[in-house]
Amino acid sequence: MRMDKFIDILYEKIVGNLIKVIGLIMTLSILIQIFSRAFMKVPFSWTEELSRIMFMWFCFLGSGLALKKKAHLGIDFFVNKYGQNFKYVNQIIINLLVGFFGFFMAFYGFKIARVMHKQVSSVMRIPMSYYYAVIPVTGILLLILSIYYLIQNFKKENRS
Amino acid sequence: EGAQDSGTEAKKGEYVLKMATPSNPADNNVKAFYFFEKNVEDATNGIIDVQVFDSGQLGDHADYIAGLQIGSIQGAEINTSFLSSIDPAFMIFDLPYIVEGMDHERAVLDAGLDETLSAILEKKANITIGGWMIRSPRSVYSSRGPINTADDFKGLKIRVMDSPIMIRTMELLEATPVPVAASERYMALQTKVVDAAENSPAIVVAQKEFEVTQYLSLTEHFCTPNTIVFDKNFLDSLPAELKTIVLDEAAKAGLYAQDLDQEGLMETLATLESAGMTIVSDVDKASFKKKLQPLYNDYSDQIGSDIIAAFLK
Amino acid sequence: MVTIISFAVMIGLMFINVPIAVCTGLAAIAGIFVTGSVPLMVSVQRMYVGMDSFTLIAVPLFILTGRFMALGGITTDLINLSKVMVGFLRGGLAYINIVSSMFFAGITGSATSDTASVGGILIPAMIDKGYDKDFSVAVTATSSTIGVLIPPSIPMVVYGVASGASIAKLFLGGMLPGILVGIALMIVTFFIAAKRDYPVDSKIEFKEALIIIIKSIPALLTIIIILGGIITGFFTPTEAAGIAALYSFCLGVFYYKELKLSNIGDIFIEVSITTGMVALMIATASALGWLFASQGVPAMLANLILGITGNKIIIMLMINLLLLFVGTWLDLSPAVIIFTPILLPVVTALGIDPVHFGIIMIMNLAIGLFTPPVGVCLFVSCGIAGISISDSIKAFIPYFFAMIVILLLITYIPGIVMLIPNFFGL
Ligand code: NA
Ligand code: NA
Repeated sequence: MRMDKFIDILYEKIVGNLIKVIGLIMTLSILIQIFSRAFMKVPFSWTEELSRIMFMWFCFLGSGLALKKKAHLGIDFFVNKYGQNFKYVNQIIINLLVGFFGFFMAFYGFKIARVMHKQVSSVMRIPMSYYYAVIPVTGILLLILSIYYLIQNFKKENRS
Repeated sequence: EGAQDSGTEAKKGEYVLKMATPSNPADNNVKAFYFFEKNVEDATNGIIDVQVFDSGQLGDHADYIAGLQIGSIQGAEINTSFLSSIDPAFMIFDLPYIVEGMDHERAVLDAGLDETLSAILEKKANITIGGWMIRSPRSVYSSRGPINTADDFKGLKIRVMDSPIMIRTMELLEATPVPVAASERYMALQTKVVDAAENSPAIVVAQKEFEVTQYLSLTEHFCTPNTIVFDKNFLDSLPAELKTIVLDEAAKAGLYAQDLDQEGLMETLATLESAGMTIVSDVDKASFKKKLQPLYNDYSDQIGSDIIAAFLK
Repeated sequence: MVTIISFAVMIGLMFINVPIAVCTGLAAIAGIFVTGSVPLMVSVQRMYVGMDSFTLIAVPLFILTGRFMALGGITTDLINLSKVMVGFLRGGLAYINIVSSMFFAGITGSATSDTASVGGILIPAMIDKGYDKDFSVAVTATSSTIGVLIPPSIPMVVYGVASGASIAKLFLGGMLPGILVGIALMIVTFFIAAKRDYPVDSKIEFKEALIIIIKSIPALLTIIIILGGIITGFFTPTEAAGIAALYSFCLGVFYYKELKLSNIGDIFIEVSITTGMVALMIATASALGWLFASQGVPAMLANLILGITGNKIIIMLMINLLLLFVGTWLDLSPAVIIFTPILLPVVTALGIDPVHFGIIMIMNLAIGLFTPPVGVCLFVSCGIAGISISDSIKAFIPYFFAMIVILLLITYIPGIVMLIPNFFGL
């Protein structure tokens, strides 16, 4: 139960609300870019970079949330031909693989973010690690969810 | 076998040097890369296997910086304007008219700036500069009219890359800078969203932009070189004599690219003229420089006044 | 070797229902691991770089536009408009389905959203009126693919990023092929409707028709805003998408009055989930594409193909077959990311314009949207109709061949693609 609540707070409250804010900033900075170009003599130079960093976070956090909503596309065409037991084992394997992938993204993503910390973006001159941090953060989101789903898999087994 | 003594016992292809460039095979810099490949492989009897990946197969300038650091590539062509993401000293080449021409740039680099900049890059990002491929400077091409003096920039809608210095340059010249992606540049000129753009003349030929502009004014305002850079860890893993070969050949390849470019420029201008463009060489650069003076002061803190001074003396 | 292992891992994992983005990612990791010489960190670096593009911001913005519109009830308006235009024909609802998809295509950039919204209304209506389930599903799914041919189009944005081709040209280049597909599907429908004796839809009075037409004008204006801005060169595709989103937002709030400010947050969440699915696929596909490039696969394949024959017609036929096969397995965006760098050098060597090739590629992959095993439009429409995929397959066959005919036409007559971009002088 406590785990359910943790997952709910992390994905629905924290990630969800972040996405709302980020999406809004991303859209507004594109609009500001158009209007600054149309109506100002000197267009803003920061709009492209701001919209791009927002876009990266919007997409990658969204892909974490997509796993929560089980929205990622897969091919159940073949799996559906088999029975319950097969599907149960299949689910465990899928969650293990997604978990491994999340771990990989988190581990190497953290390393690449550290490498990129020495570089700054061309206009806003902020460290590129703030951009690259989307990778490890998404990795962690995927990892936590797959562990949660694995635990649920085993709980279901105990009940039946 | 790797533990054995270097040089004599090493096998063919013992060291793989993956070199990435965003340019296409017809480009002089790519030709220089293949020139480098041949020379290094000949000089090392194939112990170093150079593999050139052109046409942006392995990414673009910005990605190569990370690629060298994580070891996915060992060498690359990187424009200095991208290296300024590591240290602002590289912004020096983004300053308009800091360089008087290709030969001036080469002379200042040879006089010690090369080592200064390479040392900065080694310290901050573990990347070594082996050679400099200097391209002919960028000039303005326009459908509105020739540019002879600074006044001709007034109100000119000109396409720029999304670089703060370039935008500020055009502002100081009282033009209207419009950032447009490279892939949409031709169309922006065609539909008159912009009156003008600026680039190396060879690009105007390659992208057929002479179809949508009439005047190439040799303003020669920027001369940003492309560097041949290497992962320092890779260089250090080589036996000393091989490392020397790589660095010497890279320096030679840089000169080779510059020579090709200089030879090609005359031909390029002739091609543009026969395609109906007017080449405007009567350009009052001094009038631009005067207006751009504030830029040098604005950036002297970031770039370093000693580096700026190296060009101004 | 590395290529074979990567593909084996990817397809193997797909078989057991692992999310496709993860299959591609793990394939890249496995491939890099096998080479031994490429650092593993490169995979995450390429994942980042593959997505980091200003142009790609058009993707969530076009999706956002579609959501704002759908909430406002635009789908009903467009279906009514189609009713006025083609409802009087035998099998009227099927034509309405196709024509609404064409209108819808001008507003959304994806095929799936079309299947869900147009199909969501029309499949139940068709079944109600006595149309067969398999036929209703086939019409819906095949016509939805027009969504990626008529601009705006998300796969075209992705292709533009991968190939460096002008997105404005691609958008205009897709128009005529999209319209031709619509016409081809209507011709097939004509014969099926006659054979199965489907009903004629109820007549619409002139006055009512006029009201419907006027009511749908604001929605149709979206198409003009997007295309007009891009043709005049005033907007980049990303900016056009931003303006379209703003316009559709204003429509939703002030015209349809269905959209409330309090909905915005939830809409952003939906958009980020949809974009996030696509994004992770593009990201991992970029990593895999980089690995292939670093192993020299594009050059190898180019030499292989050009070594078999120099005949342009045969090579294009082979490439079409390859892409059709790829489309049955992979979703559009990852397929575009992986195969554009591999195939573009081959076709440019043959003198084919990158814009022309982009439309050929997208058309091939779009056909894959309704062919098993992986066909999102097929899945969604079968889901709506409540019919199994295997039961619906037969009805697809005539439509499939109609699309193949159009595919061959656009492959061998470049003029069909290039006519409109050339007309606007782009
Ligand atoms: Na569309
Ligand atoms: Na449809």
